[in-house]
Amino acid sequence: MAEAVWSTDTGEAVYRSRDPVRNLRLRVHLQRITSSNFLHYQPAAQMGKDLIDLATFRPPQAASGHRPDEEEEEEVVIGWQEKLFSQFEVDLYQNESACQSPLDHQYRQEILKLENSGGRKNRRIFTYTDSDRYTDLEEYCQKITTSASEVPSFLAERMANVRRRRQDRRGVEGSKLKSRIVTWEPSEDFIKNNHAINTPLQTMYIMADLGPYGKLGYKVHEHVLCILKVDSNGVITVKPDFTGIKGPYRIETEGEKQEHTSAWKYTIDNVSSLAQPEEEEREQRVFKDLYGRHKEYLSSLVGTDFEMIAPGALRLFVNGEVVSAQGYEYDNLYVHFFVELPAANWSSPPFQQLSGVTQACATKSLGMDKVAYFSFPFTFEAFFLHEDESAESLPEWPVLYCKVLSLDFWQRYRVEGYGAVVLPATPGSHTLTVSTWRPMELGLVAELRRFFIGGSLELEDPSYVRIPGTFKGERLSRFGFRTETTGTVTFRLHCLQQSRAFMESNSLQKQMRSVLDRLEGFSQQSSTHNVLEAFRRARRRMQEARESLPQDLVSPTGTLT
Amino acid sequence: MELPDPVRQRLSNLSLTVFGDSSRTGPESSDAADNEMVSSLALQMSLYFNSYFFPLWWVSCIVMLHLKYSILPDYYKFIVVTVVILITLIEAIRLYLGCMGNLQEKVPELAGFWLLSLLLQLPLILFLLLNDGLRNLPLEKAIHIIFTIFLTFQVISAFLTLKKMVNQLAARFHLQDFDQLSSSSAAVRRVRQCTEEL
Repeated sequence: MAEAVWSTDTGEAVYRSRDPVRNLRLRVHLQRITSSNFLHYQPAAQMGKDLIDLATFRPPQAASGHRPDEEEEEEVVIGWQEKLFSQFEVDLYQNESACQSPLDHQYRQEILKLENSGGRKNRRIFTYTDSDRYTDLEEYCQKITTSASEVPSFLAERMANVRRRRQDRRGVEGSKLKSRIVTWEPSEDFIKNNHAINTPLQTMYIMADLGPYGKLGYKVHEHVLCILKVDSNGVITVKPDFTGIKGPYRIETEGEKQEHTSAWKYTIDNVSSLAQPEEEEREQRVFKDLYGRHKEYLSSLVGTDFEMIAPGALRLFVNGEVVSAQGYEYDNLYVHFFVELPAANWSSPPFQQLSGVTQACATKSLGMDKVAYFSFPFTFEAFFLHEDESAESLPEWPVLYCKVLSLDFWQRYRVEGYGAVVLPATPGSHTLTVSTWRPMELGLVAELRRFFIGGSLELEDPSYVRIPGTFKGERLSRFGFRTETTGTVTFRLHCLQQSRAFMESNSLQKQMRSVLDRLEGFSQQSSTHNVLEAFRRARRRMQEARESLPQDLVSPTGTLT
Repeated sequence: MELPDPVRQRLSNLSLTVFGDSSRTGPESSDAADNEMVSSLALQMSLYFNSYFFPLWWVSCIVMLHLKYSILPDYYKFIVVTVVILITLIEAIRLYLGCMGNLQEKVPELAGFWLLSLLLQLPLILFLLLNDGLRNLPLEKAIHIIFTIFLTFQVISAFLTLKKMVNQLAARFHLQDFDQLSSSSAAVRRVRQCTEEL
């Protein structure tokens, strides 16, 4: 009598798909099991009265013959997030007072349109989509076990909320205003509760109304046939799994009387249409073109050729920053700065400028000092060309001069300090602090003038901070020059150096040396260059000598051999 | 706050007339360099201390007026209140113009400051100080005397500063004229060369 083997494995299955989820199609086949009538009457048949018992069977079947067959079996093909209304929803939304949210009003419009066009095409099978209220409530009120008296524990509630959906939709559903978007001072409990993985899921329930004939539309008769969950990564979770070649699933319902107890069986099949081979090839070609174009774009950004410089030259590229100034007397500071290249062997491109002025910056108290943060970036590039081979003269390095001034409301500006620093000779990132001083004059009148009017002593030549450019001689005297110590200026310099000597050093497997040793590599490279030139010239002279030989001298040599 | 253009022009013309040396026919070599700052330290110090003194003066004047208000005749009551209000308003404008004109070397502002000091503030404060009918109390006499000293000093030093400032601006203007003359003479020389070539 067992006509089918029931599928008892109702666990979920996880699939992965690159296809858009809107191509998903499911066929659900629901059928009432009618063989239970025979099972119910089987003991009566075993009493031995064959003819009389068979005769008594016919009147009950004839009595139940008024049920139409369409109520016993139903088959629906459902797309992703396709809304099929149940009898309960049709009865609910026809009443306008039950509509609360815009979704309810939209459902009411659709239901009225369906009723006008001839009613629903589905009878018992219906769906709850991601937007429905049922989907939220079902996930938050889950039970872990099948016990009827289970109370969800704290851990169960937390785990249910770990992979929650987007919260904005639930907020709109409950008509709550989101007054706090940013929590400025989160508490420890807030951090613990909200520190969770939040992969948004879209959920869809396929339900069935298993009420008796003529009594559809009650909540208590609703049963879950299938739960579908899809996230943005293409992971599809189906609970229970597609039946395929397995047996159908079974649901038993309990009615008020013994005769109303019925069993149902249903199957779930994946009927998504496969992509055509042409479409698949086209899709792969589109992806290949996209990735190729992106790669070409990145290559065009980077460029193909590496920029080389002339042999015997050193290229110095500096990205710098005026970080801060601290310890000065007045407020609203700004910094004049410029780079002085030594006149002997240094040069720079004509388009770039070697000086700059920062913005005026108000100071803030940081400990004992008053600090003005500029964060003013600058960049420049310089070339060193080593021509003479004299090893005695060490190369001079560029110098960074700075002058700190202050400016106030009445347009009074005062010189706060002068400073200078030699650029670092090694590549890399350096943070330099420059101590500054300002010239001062003896007497009270100068200080009064500085305070009231603002003009103060200035240097005509800023390079006087170190060695002035017009100085010629052996000893520089600063007798009679009075200064006062003021604050400090902080620079941050990122230096890059490029030279062919570095490549030669690397090819010879030598260790990294300081830049002075690398500059000696210039002379080595120049020597190699000279040797190669001499070799080429000697080779050319030999060829010319061979060509100018008379022919008779060459012929006897050939004859002899 | 900037002065209106007609007021600036009139003040500039007045400054040129009053403070400029019309006897000089051309720029002479003055002691001051071209880019030297001609702001007056004495005037700026005076303005600075006057800014701190004026609130004290105002509070003392109001308190004294309140004390002796009942014994003053009716016409003197009205006159004194009007004078105090006028002095307050003119003083605020005057101090601002003085600081701006002196520190930023603006001749019209400084001339306005000088005129307000000489023609309005000084007569008003002398009226308050010297009128016997006002029955001045000792504190009032003291603060009025200090205020008068401030005003007198500022009038004199502003005059000297304006004189120096106007002369320096005139010298700068003449030097610009000479620069234009030298450039135009170079152009004339170039035209003569072209004519000779033709």
